[in-house]
Amino acid sequence: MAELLIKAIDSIHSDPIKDARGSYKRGDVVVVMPNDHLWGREEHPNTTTYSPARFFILKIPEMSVEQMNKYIQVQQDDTGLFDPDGHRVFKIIRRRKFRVHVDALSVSDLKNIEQHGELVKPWAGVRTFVRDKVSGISE
Amino acid sequence: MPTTVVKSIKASGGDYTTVAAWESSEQGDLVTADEIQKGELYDETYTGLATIDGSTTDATRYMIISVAEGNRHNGTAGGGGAVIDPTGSGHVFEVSDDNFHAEWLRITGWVGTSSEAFRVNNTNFHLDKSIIHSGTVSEQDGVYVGSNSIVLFIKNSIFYSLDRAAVHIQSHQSVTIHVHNCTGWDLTIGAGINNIGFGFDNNSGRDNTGSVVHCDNVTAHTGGSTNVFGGGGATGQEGTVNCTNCASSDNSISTGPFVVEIGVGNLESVTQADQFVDLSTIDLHLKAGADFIDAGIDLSSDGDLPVIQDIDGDSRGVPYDIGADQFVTPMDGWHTEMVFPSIPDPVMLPSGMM
Repeated sequence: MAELLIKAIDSIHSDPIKDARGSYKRGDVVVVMPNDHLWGREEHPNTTTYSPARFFILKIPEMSVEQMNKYIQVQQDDTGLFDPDGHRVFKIIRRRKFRVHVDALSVSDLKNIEQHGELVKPWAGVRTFVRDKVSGISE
Repeated sequence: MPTTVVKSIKASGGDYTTVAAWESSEQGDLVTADEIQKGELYDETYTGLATIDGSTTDATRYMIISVAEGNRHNGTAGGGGAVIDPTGSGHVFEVSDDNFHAEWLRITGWVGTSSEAFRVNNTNFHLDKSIIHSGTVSEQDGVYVGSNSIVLFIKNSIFYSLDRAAVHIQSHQSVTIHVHNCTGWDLTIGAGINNIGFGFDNNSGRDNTGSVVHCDNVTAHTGGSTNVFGGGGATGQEGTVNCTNCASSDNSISTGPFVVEIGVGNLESVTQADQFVDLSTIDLHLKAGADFIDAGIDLSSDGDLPVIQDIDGDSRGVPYDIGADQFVTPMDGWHTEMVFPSIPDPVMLPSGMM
């Protein structure tokens, strides 16, 4: 099982370029951990001192950490340039390429998150809510 | 006066379990909040990478990653502390906020060609009391400059067994780096490209116009064949390395390209085994009799980057030593206390008893 730490609120920067590149947004996957990871106080909504909670946990039983690491990718553009070592130069555009469309989840799923701080759901039930931020296409 | 908000980052019982989660949660407008956001690691191993970005900061309100007291290294790789040993490929820290601070870290074993311990894209980056060592593949640096016109401050840190450079400007202009009381050992060990210890890569076709690395009390020892101090760049676009009371195992202070010797306190062609406690275990504390002892300049009041402690938190006294460690004699820090035997109160005998 993989456990995903999902940002529940937007961070905002006044510079729109830096905001997109650096600020985590609601639905961004921050880290992916294996089953039964011991989350920290501020990571789990049931123990955080922050209100509203800044994260919730999404548990996907049949997926591995390696499979879910795809969703912590940044979105970057190929500049077409090369650095002095001859490597391609990529420019980060967004902090995350994908996001979980939290507000499209069902009322019962949202209630689960609110009450328990986490949601256990098979990938088949999650993937339609995981979307590429640019294309809007679901996984 | 900003409020310092301290959050613990540890595997169990802390506020966060990863640096990435801490950064994602605590990022924001720290100037308006009037806060320093401090993430404290513990005496354990961390495997994640981190990007620092998205915050508004200034010189007094910023993000700092540190290690909790009682959990810090003792100045050697084998001496405990918080270890960052990533499993994923990439820069250990990609710093894209101004004014980011890091201290007391030990970073090792990171993965990926051309990945760095710190890739610094923004200005006023501060690194203190950290040990960065044993990269795994070619073209890896300790600190790599990723933008023009930024300033970096690096002190009391050790860099060793790196393929390429401890501190590296590859092709960026108007960069200023202050490196004070650092030790580099077994640097430039790769046969790869652009090798240098502290300075600019040794390919000539770079534009490093206006960039300067100020090395004060820095010692660097090569593990390969290239200079440990050196400048570089296309003709008219060279960067400069200023060496004041520095020491090297080669003669790059006097002969390295675009290196300027400041004063008469530099040492060259030093014998490494005479300087450090134990090279077999890579204990780079100074040994008794080392040439570096008392050979540095006093940086306690330096206007750019004052130095008052060493790699493991010992106070520096004048004269300063060269390198990350300040030699402590066995009697330093001990207080001599005179102990007298207690004398019993006089007993007053009733009259007539004598």
